Amino acid sequence: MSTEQTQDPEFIQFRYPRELLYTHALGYQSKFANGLKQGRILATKCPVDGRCTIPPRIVCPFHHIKQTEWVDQGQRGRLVSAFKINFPMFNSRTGELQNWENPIIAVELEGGARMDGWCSETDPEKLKTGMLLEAVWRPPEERQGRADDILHWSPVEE
Amino acid sequence: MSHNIPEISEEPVIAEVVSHSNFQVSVGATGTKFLKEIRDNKTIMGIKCPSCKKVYVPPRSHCPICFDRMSEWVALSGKGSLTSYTIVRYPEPYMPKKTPYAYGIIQLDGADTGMAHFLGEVDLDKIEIGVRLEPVFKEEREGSILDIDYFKPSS
Repeated sequence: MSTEQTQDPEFIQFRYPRELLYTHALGYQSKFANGLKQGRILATKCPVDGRCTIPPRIVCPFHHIKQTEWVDQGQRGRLVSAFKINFPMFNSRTGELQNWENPIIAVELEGGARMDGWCSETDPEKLKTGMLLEAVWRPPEERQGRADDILHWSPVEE
Repeated sequence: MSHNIPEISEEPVIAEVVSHSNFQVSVGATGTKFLKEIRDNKTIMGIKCPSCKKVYVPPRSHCPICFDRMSEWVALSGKGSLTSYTIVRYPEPYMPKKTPYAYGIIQLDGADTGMAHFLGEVDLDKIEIGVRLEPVFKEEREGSILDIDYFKPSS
């Protein structure tokens, strides 16, 4: 038997919902996580040029030297860059598509390290490079030592 | 190692992250016909290259050797021979079968390629390459390769 392939209105699709638990030791970054639980942002500092790194690294990626000094980066920083997602994007925490109202930003902290986060200002027109921002934290009892213990960064008037 | 922020603990942290995903995959026109024939007619179809005459199971739209588009479908009996197998003993999430089970490559009669599927109604310690097999279809079929429950030794 042989048949010619014809246009078929039915197309078979599959959904593969998956929920996977990953457990891993943070190792050297444990101190960073413990700091987040206490509402503090810690970075490692390179002994050669003083550059601070978040997430912390045991070895400076530029000078290949062990970093032993930790520096509290403070609660404020300045906006480096921002972008906003204007279409529904997948959320790996829920497995669903969702709208992302808050821009994703890079912040340069008072201590010199840079990190990513969300901005509370949802209008991209109101975001200016160099503007002062302040960390807004989850309540202490909700913090888990993760980057999203910082709910978002809010603009501060100067 | 010395730190200058002693009030923050260095106690090791074990992070637990639950990752969700929800992939959606279309099997395409060729895959749709293949799965519909299994679902609706309990028939395993191959597809034949017009140049080299090879019959592919599972089917694909183009011959990977000649790069010709294939459109000639061939209905197979479903019977075939085991060419390779493994025994899966370690359970992982989302496996469609309970371990231990056998997973084999079956060369169907009339096909030039092997098709991977489960082996059932077999003694896991006595599986032999070359054994004749036939498909066992599920009663409730939904348009999935798992509409074939497994391949069992031919009676």
